[in-house]
Amino acid sequence: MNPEEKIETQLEQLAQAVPSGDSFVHDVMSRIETSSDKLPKQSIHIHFVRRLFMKRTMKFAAAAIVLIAALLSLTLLDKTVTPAYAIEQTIEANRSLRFIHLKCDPAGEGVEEIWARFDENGQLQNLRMNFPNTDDGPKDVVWQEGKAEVWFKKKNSVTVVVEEAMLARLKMSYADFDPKLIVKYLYRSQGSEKVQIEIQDSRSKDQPIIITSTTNGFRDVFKVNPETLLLEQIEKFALKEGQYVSLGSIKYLDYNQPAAADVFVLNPPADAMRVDQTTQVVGLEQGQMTNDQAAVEVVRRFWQAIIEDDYQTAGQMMEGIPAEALKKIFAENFKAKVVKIVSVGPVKPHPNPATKGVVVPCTLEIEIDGQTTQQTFDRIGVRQVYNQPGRWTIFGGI
Amino acid sequence: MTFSDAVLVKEVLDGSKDAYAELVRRYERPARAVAMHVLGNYHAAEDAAQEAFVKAYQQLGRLNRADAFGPWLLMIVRRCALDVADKKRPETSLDAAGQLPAHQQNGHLDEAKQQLLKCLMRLGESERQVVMLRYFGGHTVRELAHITGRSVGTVTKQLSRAHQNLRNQIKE
Repeated sequence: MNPEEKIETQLEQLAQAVPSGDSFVHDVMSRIETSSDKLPKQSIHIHFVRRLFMKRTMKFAAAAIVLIAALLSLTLLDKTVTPAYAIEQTIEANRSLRFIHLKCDPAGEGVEEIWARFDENGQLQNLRMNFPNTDDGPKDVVWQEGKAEVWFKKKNSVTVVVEEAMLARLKMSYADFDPKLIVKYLYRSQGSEKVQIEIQDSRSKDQPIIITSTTNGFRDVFKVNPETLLLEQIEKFALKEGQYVSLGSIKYLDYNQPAAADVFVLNPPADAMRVDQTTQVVGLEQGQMTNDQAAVEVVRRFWQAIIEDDYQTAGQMMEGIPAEALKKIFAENFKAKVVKIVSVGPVKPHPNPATKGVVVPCTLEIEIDGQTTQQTFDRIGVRQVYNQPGRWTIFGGI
Repeated sequence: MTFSDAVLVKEVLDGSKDAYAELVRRYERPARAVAMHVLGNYHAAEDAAQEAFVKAYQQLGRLNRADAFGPWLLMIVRRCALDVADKKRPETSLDAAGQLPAHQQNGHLDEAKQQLLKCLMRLGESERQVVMLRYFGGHTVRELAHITGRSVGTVTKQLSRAHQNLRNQIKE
């Protein structure tokens, strides 16, 4: 394996080397059909149906039904007028796309609005995604020139990172809304037995071409502009109690309209805290320490720096927060003076493995209103710094 | 756009063969990949994968959690493949091999792909399932969320973790 080659590409190549067989499903189902009376346990209904069909007369009847159905479908197909519009036309039209703006309704916990810009080869150049409701509150993400800038509106902070996994997640999230991919998927689905696709051609330039894709209780209705042949809207439905109910829609706006100058620039308030992990050294260098030792040491150094009023060092240990900002946070939220470190560690697994971090509990001796007491902090998360190999940082607050 | 595994399993238990055919289509290539990992040969893997689907159908009533169908099936595939390996079946004829893509006409994966498959098999059950459905099944993240009954966010994170895990394994 080539470690430099993208893992996604390697997986795609592996998948291509494990082909599907034309008759695989049929062969399995035939084997099931002929495997005597071995049926799913707890299934009375299927047992009954199977026995019914094992009778020779019924086999005849079933064959006749299949034949009639086949003839009927042939007749219907014969009468179907081939639509003038074909999905390939939209695939072709999509090649011209340089700028996409879309809105999702409702956004739920996901993305609400996306802007994307492509170069002349169709490669994604800039991306902005606005998420109104996340665990961190509302956040806007802008990706350009290889950097992701995240504005956490509730925390009034902006973080700039270069992290492959994060960029991959962003691109993957966008892929679900990418009209180029969606239309290609729709085109490929035409040959699938499990998807029914109907195309209703437009009768005037004001009326969209309607493509309806139905599969396994879900229905997507695609509206295509008859002049530009670009996708204008997707409405999603799910079958509930015999009726298709709306799940929401994606609207494509402003195709190829040049983006407003500030679309790919975040505009946070002037007092927003800014942490740029691409330009400043963050956290503690691991050196010869093991991962656990480094995680413990970064927490110990953080608190030692707080004891010594060294907010510069403390901020560096905590995601590179600027000294003044950290001092302000402590003054407003931590109404105690840290006297000494009683214990740090041992390291515990983080409750959220997705953070790729660990928890380093610690106990401090603190002074409040002249009284000395001990306080334990058992939620301090520590992880390796994004894109700064061999460095460790506290993350997510204390 | 897609029914979850759990819904399809319930439909199968309620008598629908179409639902099972859908599960077979969904997991055909992941199952072949698991069998190829054990047997290293395309033809033997196909037999083992088919056998596993038949066994899974017969034992479906024993599945405690319908949403765990994917990992459960792949476990059966592995067992069937090990059985085939024990029996040391003779190779399939060269005529059948002639229909395969040129890069694997001998029915074997090249060394790099075998290594990647090995790394893939070391992933946790849930991560392996989403990676296989994504790449071998060609499903979108949204579809994966429907299939596995997990949220889009969870699937995205699992894929991301799996990618990172595979990258780390490759570097080692």
